[in-house]
Amino acid sequence: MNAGIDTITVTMAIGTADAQDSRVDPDRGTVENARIGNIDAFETLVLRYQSHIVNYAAAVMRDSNDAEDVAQQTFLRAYRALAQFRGESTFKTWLYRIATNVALTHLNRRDRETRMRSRSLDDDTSSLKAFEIASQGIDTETNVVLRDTIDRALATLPNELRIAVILRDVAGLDYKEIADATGAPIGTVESRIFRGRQRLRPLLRPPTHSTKQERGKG
Amino acid sequence: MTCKEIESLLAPGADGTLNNMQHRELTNHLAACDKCRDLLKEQTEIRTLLSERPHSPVPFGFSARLVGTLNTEATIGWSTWIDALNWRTWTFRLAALAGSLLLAAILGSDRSDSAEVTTAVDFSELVTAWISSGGNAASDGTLDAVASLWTDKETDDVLLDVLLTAKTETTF
Repeated sequence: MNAGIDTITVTMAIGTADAQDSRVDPDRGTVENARIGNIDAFETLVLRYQSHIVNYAAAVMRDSNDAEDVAQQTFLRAYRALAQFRGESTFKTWLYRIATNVALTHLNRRDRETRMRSRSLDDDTSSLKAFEIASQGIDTETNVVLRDTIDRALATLPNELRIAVILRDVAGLDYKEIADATGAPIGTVESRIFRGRQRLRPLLRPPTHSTKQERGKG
Repeated sequence: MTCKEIESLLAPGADGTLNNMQHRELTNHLAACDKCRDLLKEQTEIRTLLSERPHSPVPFGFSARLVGTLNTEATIGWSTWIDALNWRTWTFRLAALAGSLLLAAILGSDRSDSAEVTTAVDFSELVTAWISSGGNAASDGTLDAVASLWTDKETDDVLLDVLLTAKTETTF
């Protein structure tokens, strides 16, 4: 495993967390307009963040209908609660916090209604291939398969680990934003992301050396 | 630092979000620890894979549906809907309705009872007259009146009651 040390060292860039803390919310003006009842201004925010929230909801819920419900409810709740938005976090982070709460409510209800049978992803045929798929180029069908494979693996995680990992690795929020969105301390967020990725590791297995050789022969 | 202590730096290390001091501590530890190097490599691989997850498409008409709902709420006033879900509001509104229904029921009940009594009295008088005439009331039209009342207005219970209480010495 020492072979990977160069890559690791390169990956470990020094962060810019301090710079991120002092940034200004780019949505502030639009939010102020929406706050006084300007629906056009709110629509601007919807168009800006709908792909983020739908994507996040889809990764958490793993069901397109549920994801749309969660996303719609997120924006509706945000609009109704704009008066309570004090700007302590960015609008985007606040939106993710609402989405997280809505998604958790949906998940809890769904879990109560039906206990999903956990699928084994640990055999060679179904467990992943995600690394292979990711390297095969982009087309719609491939995207669907890759997304579904990742979402299946994510679905095996407990809610708090899943949400932390998705917010970090799928949605791209930084640790402070995730802490704001989930209400958890940063240390807890770091721990959840670490443990979540660890649990995903056997499910999202990269091709082994032998597999690569066999594929090369074929 | 121990492996346990360094663990908290592995996820941010894979993300490249460590500060200078943390970065130095992690680098020093990794130089002597294969296990943590492997863990960091795994964190990096999973992070990279997840970041390549294709975006889920936004459903067609998503924003239009949302704005439509907001416009509807703005027209009606969404607080109205919240009020509609407030059981206290419903209690007060239904109290007035319940009072009205109760009053109507009492009045209706009184009117119905008096009409029944009136009809029963008329019917009783007719039956008594018919019986008193020895059942031969065809000539003065009493029988027709009895038959008409019986078929049009009276129930079997009223008829039975009248027959049983009719004042007559005649036996059938």
